[in-house]
Amino acid sequence: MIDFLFEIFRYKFFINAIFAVVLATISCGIIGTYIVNRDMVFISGGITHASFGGIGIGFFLGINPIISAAIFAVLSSIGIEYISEKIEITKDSLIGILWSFGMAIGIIFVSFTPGYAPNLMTYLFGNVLTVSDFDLKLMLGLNIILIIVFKLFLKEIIFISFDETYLKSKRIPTKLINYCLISLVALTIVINIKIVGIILVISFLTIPQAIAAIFSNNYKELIIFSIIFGFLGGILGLIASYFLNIPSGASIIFSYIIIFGILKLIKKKL
Amino acid sequence: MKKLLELKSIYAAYEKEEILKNINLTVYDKDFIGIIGPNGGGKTTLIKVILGLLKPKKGDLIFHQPRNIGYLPQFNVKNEKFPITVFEIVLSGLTSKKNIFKKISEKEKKKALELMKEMGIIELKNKVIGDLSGGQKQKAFLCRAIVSDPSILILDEPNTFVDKKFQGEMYNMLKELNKRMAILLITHDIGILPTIIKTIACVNVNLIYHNSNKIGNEELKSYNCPVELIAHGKIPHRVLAEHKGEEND
Repeated sequence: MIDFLFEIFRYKFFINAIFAVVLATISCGIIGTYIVNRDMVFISGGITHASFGGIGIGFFLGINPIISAAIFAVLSSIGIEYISEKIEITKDSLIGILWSFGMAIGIIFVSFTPGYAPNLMTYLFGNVLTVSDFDLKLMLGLNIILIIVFKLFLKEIIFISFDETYLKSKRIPTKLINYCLISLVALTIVINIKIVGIILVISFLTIPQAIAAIFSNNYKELIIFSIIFGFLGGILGLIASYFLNIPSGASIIFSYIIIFGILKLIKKKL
Repeated sequence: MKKLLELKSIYAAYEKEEILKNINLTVYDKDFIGIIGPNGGGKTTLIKVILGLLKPKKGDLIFHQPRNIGYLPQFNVKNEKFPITVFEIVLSGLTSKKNIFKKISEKEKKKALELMKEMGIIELKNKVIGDLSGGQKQKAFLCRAIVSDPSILILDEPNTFVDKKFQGEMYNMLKELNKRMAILLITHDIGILPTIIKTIACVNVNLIYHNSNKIGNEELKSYNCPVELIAHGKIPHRVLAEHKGEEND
């Protein structure tokens, strides 16, 4: 009887983990394709690390760190866009500053927090096996928003990514669109942090895209292939992490790299 | 002649550095203005002001007609690998403030396809930009610029990175297009000017307008435009001037 309950329990968290991987690969497939094709990987890395500031604040205030990280990440991503327009500084330097500034704030607030922060490692390295129902709901909400936005406005997103100046010359409010899109990037990063962690989330947004690019150069197909390969690698990594008893985030990324390497080699041979 | 656009004592600057001073220019219907001048003299800045990409510090920009400008930007390598097809590039030319979030209608698609046929790039419809030659790319971008039937077409050095054969083709197309719209052409290729353009605007912080397509070397020198000499005769030819100003850039 106890064995049976234990099986169900295992089943439940494993099912949760699989749901989490599916939802993560959909959102990362969509947003990853956007950032890769808009040369925004570095800014995404900056937002990712800056969000650690929000996580630290969350620990300190005793609220869900994902919520505070989401607010922090959205504000800092909009901040980068805004400041780089207003003062004379290259975006790259600004991102570099924000990157370490966010980490520093996080470290300071964590050290202010009495006691040891037991979940801290989860946010840094991710753990798909501890994903809660609340996390899944957040992910589901994010996915619904992303699918609607990219379904309705894909042409605009492609056009603005391809040639923003041209759209500006057509009097399109590109700034406003950019703010909306960067906020979605920030939300996607933060909501997926639980799965792979701050250190590794950028690979969820870039490696499936690199694999997809082996097969297609059509924007819509790139999104779809990124999701498919993201999912395959995700499940493969999840199984490997279960049997080899290694952290899920790292094993998923490992399987991405292996898939990428193999497919790239096959493609080269053909 | 119908006025399309007027620039009245426009001043423009980046940060503190003044690029354009007291610019006055009127663009009439079916004009063909060649914009010449040294590098860093403000040619591209002038176009940015007209396109609304840069707000002038002072002065007025007056559109006498509903604003509809076609724009062919300078060649940009950054976009080389973007997953966008020729058809999509052309369709993006139909974007406007009014229809930005609307679906592209069948009628608009048909129009874009017809234009691509006319330009001879219909068979490239589904090719992505990275697979095109320089000339093909330029044709795709030209289609994008004119698919919305603009009253003014602005081209920023359309000849960079394209071969000689295409240049000729391009100028013939522009001649044809000029029957339908006014054209502003930034160019370094001064030799070609007398054969297609009607007037010349020489931009070097100030703007000096020549209501003719014939200016001599002495005039160019006095306006501080170190460009190639435009010589005119029965056979179009040019004489190379010193490249003093261009080396500074």
